[in-house]
Amino acid sequence: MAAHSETLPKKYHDAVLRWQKQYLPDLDFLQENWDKHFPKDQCYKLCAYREQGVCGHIEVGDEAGKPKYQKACEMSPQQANHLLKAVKAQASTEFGSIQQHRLTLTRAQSEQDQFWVLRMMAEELRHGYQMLYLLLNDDWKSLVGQSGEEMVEEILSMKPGSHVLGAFNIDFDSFVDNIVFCALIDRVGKYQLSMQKVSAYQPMAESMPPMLREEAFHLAAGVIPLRRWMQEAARGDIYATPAAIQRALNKWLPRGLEMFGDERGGASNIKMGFKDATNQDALDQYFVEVTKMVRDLNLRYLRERLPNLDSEQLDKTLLNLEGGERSQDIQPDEILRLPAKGYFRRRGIYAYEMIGTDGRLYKDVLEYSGHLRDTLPEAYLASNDFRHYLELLKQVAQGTKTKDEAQHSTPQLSRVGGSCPCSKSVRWIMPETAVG
Amino acid sequence: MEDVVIRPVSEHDAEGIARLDQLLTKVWRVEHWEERIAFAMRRDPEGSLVGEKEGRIVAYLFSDVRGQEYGFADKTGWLEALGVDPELQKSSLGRRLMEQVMQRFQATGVNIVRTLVSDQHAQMGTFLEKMGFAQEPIRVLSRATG
Repeated sequence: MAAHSETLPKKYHDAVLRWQKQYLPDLDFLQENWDKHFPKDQCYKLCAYREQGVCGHIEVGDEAGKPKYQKACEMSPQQANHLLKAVKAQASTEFGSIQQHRLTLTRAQSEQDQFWVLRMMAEELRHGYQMLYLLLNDDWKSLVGQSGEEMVEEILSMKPGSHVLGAFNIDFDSFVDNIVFCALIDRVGKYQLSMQKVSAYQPMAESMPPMLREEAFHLAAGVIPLRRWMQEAARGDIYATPAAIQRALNKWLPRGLEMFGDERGGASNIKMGFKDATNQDALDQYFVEVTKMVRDLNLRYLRERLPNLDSEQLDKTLLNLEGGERSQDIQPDEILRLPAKGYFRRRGIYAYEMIGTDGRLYKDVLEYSGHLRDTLPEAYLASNDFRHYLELLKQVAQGTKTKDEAQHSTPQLSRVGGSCPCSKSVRWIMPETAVG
Repeated sequence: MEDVVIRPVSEHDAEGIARLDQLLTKVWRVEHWEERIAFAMRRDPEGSLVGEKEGRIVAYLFSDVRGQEYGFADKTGWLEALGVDPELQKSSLGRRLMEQVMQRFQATGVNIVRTLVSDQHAQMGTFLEKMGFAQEPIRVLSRATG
């Protein structure tokens, strides 16, 4: 597919490089060893890509059929604000995930897994760069009152805890998190990018195909090690057990579902021509896809445990196990299960409902917190994020906070803008005051 | 044939494709398909397709676009792997897959499509001829590595 590359003006490009030196210092090492690990793939380049040949007419919504917007000023202020929010959120997730992955990158057990995650981080940096390109390549100030320069400053100053979406404010506790995050959270990214391929804003639409191609690798960086771990576990190895993977699925899936936005929303995105699916529709498709992933992982486990069974026999065994029956000397709790959509939710229609992994509704906070203790990774239970959730849950149960108030108690973008004391001095031309 | 859904390949299809491939070749090679899918998705997530019927993979077609290799002047659309469930080989499923990939090639500026087929796979050769493919004056050379 044909795409042309562009770079940001030097001061912004340099600002991203300084950010990279702090949060992704191994980028040079990745590039030096690229051909060893990815001999068939073109070497990584930090730049923005714009796909050629993308549809030039608005594909969905009220303005369908009209030429796509080439510039922000062609949109209504409402549209511009809406789009800008999405671009900022996207940028925040890209930079945020790098900050998360770096915490446990060194704990990978294999060089391949480590390089795959490292490549994924580098490509997330490029995706963040792509979003900054959208912010800087247009005049947003006349529409939203904030210049591209100010927005870049705001985004590069974000740290875990201040990102727009909850999933990016949670620390990784082990390398299992790196992998499960790729398999679940990057998959949400794939959906968001796919929906935005139709964007009525042409520069956004042209940004999506190259990002999607890279995102496919990120999913593989998650799913392939998971398959291997399940096969190793079936052979009796104890590197990453199905139980550990299960708890990580329980930790991340709720955050992934929330990244689609409230289940009742998303219609305005379609109306304005920015996406082609509602939040609920996209979430449902995602859930089906993740269900397939879990089934695939379970089959890998069973095939390794029961090498003499053919595919039909394996299907039947899995069906029995999913139904809670012991089968072929395998216990039902040896396989992975996707938690219910309402489990451990803090946003959307299930926010602060006490729903168990199997969909059971709990009435008592103490009982529910016991269920969470039994189903979430132990290290995560000791985190600030979990404590924050549990405190809010108790307040909701006591009636001192509404579910709506609790939902809005997570970090918001507006809290971080200009938080840096040197923000007015424009950080990207002052290396000594650079990020951090 | 309307009950067969054609969609881009996803990383969850390795098991399903491996099952179909085993049916066709008697060989189980899920790791091969895993790698093949990962490569296809990195190159062009919509350029390789599967046919799915009631949750089961019943056909696949892997393609790729490369330019000017082997001395060819033009960018070439390559058909690299095609498989259809034996029970559905008399239906138009292979044709549907092929037509969809052709549309994709056209949309991306590819004017010529090439593939290789062994004389031992006469059925595949006949199918491709029906789809409009004709033999080119090209020699396929090979040797052992040792």
